[in-house]
Amino acid sequence: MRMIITELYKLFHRKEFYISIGILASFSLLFAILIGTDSNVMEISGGGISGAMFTAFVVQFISGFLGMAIFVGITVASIWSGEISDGTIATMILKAKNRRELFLGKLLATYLSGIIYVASTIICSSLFYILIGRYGSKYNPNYFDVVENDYISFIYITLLFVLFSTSLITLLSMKFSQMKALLAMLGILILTKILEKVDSIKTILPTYITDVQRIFTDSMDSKTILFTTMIIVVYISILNLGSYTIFKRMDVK
Amino acid sequence: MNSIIRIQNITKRYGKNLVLDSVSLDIQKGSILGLIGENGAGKTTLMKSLLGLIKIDAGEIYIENHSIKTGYNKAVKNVGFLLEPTFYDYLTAYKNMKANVMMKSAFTKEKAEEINKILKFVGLSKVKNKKVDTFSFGMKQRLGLAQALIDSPSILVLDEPLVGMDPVGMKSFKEKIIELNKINNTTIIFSSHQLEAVKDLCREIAVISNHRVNYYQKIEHAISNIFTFEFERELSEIEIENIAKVEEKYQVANNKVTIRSTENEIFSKIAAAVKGNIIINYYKTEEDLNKFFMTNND
Repeated sequence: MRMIITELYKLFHRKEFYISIGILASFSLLFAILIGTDSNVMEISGGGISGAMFTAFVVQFISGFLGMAIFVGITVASIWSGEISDGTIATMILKAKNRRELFLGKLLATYLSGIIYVASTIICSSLFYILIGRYGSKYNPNYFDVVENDYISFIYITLLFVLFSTSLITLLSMKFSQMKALLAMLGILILTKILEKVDSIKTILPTYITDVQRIFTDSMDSKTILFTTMIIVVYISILNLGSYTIFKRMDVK
Repeated sequence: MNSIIRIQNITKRYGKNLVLDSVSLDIQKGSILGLIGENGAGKTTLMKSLLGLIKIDAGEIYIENHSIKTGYNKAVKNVGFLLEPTFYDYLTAYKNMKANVMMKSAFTKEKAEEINKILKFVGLSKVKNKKVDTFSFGMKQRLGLAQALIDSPSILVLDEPLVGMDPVGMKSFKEKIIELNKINNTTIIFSSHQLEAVKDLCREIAVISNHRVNYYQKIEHAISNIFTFEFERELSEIEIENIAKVEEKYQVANNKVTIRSTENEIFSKIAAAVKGNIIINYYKTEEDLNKFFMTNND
């Protein structure tokens, strides 16, 4: 618990954290303005757009170009790789009860940071849509209209994706510098996106992990959601176990 | 013997590279041990092994009778350290210290007071609310010492703490170290290439060379005094033999004899070794620690 509190204390003092939230919020603001002004840039077919649909769209857009992964990756890489390379990890090792406590504390803090990024994007999207999007002709005041159940699944999958990205970059940070770890993570996620198109590989890869748009085009029943979750959790566990094994044996040179 | 740290035959390799080769040290409570050795000899590796930051391949390390391997938390509970001064540059000096405290316990008013006290002790209280990325190297060294002093450690491990310091900063730093040792009986392990500082501060000295401890003794035994005697006449063979019995390391040049000895005073012994009252001049100089280092660093 001590370690999580300390990590969050440090995180909330990093300007990169606030810059990331600001950039993520700016997407929400931009799209809210486009919808609020009935701009031709965005063509919307069908009936009105509810707040939930708008939020889902913003998060899907950001996730589509791996934006969420980039911001999560920058934060996580600096928490792990940055502290390992600059030596501040040494103090933490001596202060912690053991390396397991330190590892878990940092890991949970990085998960929380990812959840904060997703949550802040959802909150900003909702707020901007209500404040600005309301002036557009497609505005639907019923926030949860149309996509009630899908919306919950969609947030859930996005969060799983963020946790997966966090665990992936944590593992990479054990061996690589900040920039290399980030680039390696993005490379792996792009490769995953490509391989998901191959039917024979789809079943063993964490499906929908990078393609949240599918939540609206394919119907995801509870069985599929459960299966997807299990695969992702297994992957996350393997990544975390790998990271901890390396960290436990690491010499702080 | 009141050993606070026992290092027993520790060995460390990185691949085929041997970094520490059966190193043993027995450090007494309250001592100030100087670790000297050339670059790459293994000083920093030894210190990091002691702190558990590097896993050793063989041997044992005990701190306050707790093994690093099986009782790490208890072993390092009272250890403070200063390796390379590293901080969270985006935090102020005060907040760096606060983050340090938070890792181990709740941040209370008492802890806040302790931090202010320590920052005052190291001379950083006026800049405590400035971000560390604005600090000079010397200031960072002092902040590093401040961090090491949180929780009032009974053991301090300092790796090259005087690097990059100006003479005034160095003097102040040395005074703080001596004060800590005097008041709190803090055991200090201190590595440095600045041999004069080692000579001023340390009571024991260990030389690490070729990944082994080649020499480990009290500092007064390590540094010799050089005595020069001038006589009225040239000495006889018997008189030279008598001098050799007093001290083996001597040189005779006409009516002058130069003797290297770890003893503080040998005038009366030499006077007794020669016939009559023939000493016309005598002076003593202290050997430079550099020479000692060169001799014991193979």
